[in-house]
Amino acid sequence: MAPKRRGSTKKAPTFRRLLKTSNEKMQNKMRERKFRQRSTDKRARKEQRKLRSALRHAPPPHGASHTSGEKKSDDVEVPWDMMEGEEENYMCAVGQHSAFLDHHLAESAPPIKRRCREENPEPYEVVPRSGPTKPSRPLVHLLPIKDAAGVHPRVMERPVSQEEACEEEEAVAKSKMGKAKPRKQRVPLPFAVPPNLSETELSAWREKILNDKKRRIALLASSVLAEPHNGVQRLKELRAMLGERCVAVSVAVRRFVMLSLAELFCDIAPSYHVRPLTEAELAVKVRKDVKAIRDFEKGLVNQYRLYLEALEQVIRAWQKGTSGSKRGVAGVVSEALQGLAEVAVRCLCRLVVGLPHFNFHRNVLLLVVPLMDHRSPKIGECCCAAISKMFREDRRGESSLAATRLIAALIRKQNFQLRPEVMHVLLDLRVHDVEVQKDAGSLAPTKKDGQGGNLSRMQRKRHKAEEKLQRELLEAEATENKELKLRLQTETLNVVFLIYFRILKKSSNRNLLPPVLEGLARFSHLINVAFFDDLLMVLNKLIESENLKNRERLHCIQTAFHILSGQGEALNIDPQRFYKHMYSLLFQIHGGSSNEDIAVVLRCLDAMLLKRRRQVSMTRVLAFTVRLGALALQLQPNAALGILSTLRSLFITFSHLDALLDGEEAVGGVYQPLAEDPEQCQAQGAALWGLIALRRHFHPTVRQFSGHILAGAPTEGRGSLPSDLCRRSPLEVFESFTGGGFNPPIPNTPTTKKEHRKEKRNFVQPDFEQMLQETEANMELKEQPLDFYNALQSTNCL
Amino acid sequence: MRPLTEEETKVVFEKISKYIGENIKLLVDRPDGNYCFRLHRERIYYMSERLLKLASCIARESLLGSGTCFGKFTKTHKFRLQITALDFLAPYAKHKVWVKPGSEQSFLYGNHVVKSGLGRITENTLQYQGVVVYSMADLPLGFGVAAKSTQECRHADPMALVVFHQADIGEYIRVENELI
Repeated sequence: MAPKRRGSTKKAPTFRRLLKTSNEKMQNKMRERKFRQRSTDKRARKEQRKLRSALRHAPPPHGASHTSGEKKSDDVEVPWDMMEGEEENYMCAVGQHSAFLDHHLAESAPPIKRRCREENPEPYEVVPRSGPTKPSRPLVHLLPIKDAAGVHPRVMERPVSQEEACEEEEAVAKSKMGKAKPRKQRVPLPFAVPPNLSETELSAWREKILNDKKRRIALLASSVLAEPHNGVQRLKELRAMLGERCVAVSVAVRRFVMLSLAELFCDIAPSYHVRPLTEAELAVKVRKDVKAIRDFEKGLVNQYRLYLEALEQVIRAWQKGTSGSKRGVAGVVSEALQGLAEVAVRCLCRLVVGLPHFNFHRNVLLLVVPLMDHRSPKIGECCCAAISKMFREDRRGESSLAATRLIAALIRKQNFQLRPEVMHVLLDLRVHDVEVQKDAGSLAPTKKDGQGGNLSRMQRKRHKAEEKLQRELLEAEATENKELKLRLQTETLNVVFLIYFRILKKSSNRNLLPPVLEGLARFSHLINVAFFDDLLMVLNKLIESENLKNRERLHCIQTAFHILSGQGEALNIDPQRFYKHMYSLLFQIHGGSSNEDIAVVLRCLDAMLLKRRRQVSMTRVLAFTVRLGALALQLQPNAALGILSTLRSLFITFSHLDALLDGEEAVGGVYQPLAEDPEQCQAQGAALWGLIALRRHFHPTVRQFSGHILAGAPTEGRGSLPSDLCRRSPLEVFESFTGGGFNPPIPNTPTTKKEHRKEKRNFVQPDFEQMLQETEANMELKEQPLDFYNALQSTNCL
Repeated sequence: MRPLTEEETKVVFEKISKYIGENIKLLVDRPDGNYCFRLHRERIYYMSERLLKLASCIARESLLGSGTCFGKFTKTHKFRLQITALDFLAPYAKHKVWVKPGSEQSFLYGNHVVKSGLGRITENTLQYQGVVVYSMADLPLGFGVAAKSTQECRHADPMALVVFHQADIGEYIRVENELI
């Protein structure tokens, strides 16, 4: 019968097509046939079993009639109804003795050996198994005896001495421990601490076992290294030693095994991701070497996975605080679990850095990233360092993205209560280029085909084929795809900025601010211009919020200007509020010598006034100049010099500042020194009288500088600065004079001999004079300057 | 010459604070004396009290004006700010707009500012906010009203208006007979 044709027939029916059956039909047929075959086999076996059991119990020949009563398809059915009387009698008589039948059956081939139990086992099958029959001592083969009957081999057990006996027992026990599952039927010797040993003997015994273990580990590891492709078995054994049972050495052994396995995997793992083979690939016959590689990869991945699971178990058990439980890490006491977990963490960190291309990298990241914020600082530092290193070495961008996402999740989970080191890690991200997106409109996917969607069918097909070809070519190329990298980096950067914005907006943890601001400043040239307004608004709000220290406010301002100096130059916005904040912050810097804010202030001023010289208005510059002049009076010489250097740069950059040096009255109103806004203080009416006072400063360089500025900051001639001071930036000047010294040092004038006139002290009480003399004698006057800060700190008052 | 009534004060201060916000109090109490506003012939004058005393000596019909004229009231009692107030309002301006040198002339002739002529604008300027227009050399040129907020300015096309013209210093030459 012809197969059913679906739809309209396009081709003329031929004989061949008639005969052809569809694939599904063929498959169904095969399946049915298989099932049928199986069921018939099953029934046949059942029948035969029954017959055999019947035969065994020596049933009477009449019994055969019972068995033959069942219908069997293979049996020849005796057509009773067709027979006549005589034949019937004969057949019945024969049927009683159906010995031939039984004989036939008994001689037939035995049924297929089945592994499961039979119904009536033989008596010899029921006998229980005896113990291992191997001799406890090695056998010695003696010379065989030859006699008339033949050759008789002789065997004797080797007589052993006492030490050998001990060694053997140990060797037996060691080989037992080398296996994954220790047998429970005997208690081998080294599992339990041998009793009646003194301290030294105990430690000696432990040493011995430990050394044996170490040697074994080293042997296995070096053999695997030498020949990785055949070493899966040894790797398995090494990994199994993680489950070390002997209490005395288990912690040390496990530690060694963990560390050596970490290094080993880093060395032998291939530099590509091993993917599981598909059905089609498995079905294909491959060459021997390809098969060997495949087996090696499979074994390696398996062992790696088990190793990671073991590490994870250790860490989880330690985190939960349990030990020795069934699901925990058996055989290790809880105090040692801490050390073991630290080692596990270290191994994981090594793997994170060393195997970024291999399988399970994401799982390792999942383990390591939450530990970055751990209570114990050692573990946190280790994890942070590992992740930093991974970021620095990552070329593809994928693992950076995954890690960044995990960090974002961690921050969210911990609700911003983290250690700042976690944020410092993000500064190590290698993100250089980002996809430039002009505005939100261009984010929609653009149409690639030129015609705009009205391609004909053939063109569409061609298009698709071209794309497929492109993709295949790309696969064959095997270089880092630039587009992919760009996309990953953009994605990563988005996540990073999300983190930063979230922290800026919601977090109350001020410790996180400095790394966040630093990160913003570092990645500012990559921020999308659309975010600028948001960012500046958030920064502004932050500065205005009450609970922020001056240093952090300065950092915010510095970040804002850093951002604006990058891509923000295209924007024509004027950060008026930041100028205002800076202006008011200038007078809040205290003038003590321990103040490090000046460096930040100098940087900010540089960014605000000098770099943006074309964009800053005259009034602002005037206001800042006047305020800086007043500030220089309050500070220490090093800071004053920094400020003076800045003033000098300002005078050189803006020529109209000369008006401040004039004593004449300027138009425009009275200077308001305490006005908050630099625009409104009418600074054009002010004068830099502070410089006059600085002309009499004790520091010679300050005198020099102020004289120079008062002369109008000429570049040469009378009143000009020496060239070494000329060329340095304000920050350099500040730093070179920090430390309290004079630079160049003032020559020591020879001390004039001052005659010590001992004053005659006349006190009313005579013993007061004595007391004074005693205290003077006892007091040690040190020649060093008094350092109150250190002294107070040492007594923990600060 | 009479002091301003309540409503008149309200109207005037409202208009002025469009440009300088709350700094208007800096106009009133200054460190070098008290300054006040007076109405004379429908025009608002701003002067110090010392000058006020002196001006009160002159008869009302023969007094042209005293101090600085800030603006005048129209027939329907709306306040129109004049360019003569620029010197006092410019230092306290909250929102500023800088205009490129090419379109300075255009603004000084009384035209509005287009996006292509915009040099810089203060951040967070709202729409229809009073602004003071500066040249790139930081010279105040006049008053205006922002037609678009700072955000919108970035996305506007080059021929869109960004600042509506209100007053400019070219008026000193063009319409000097109306200023006093």
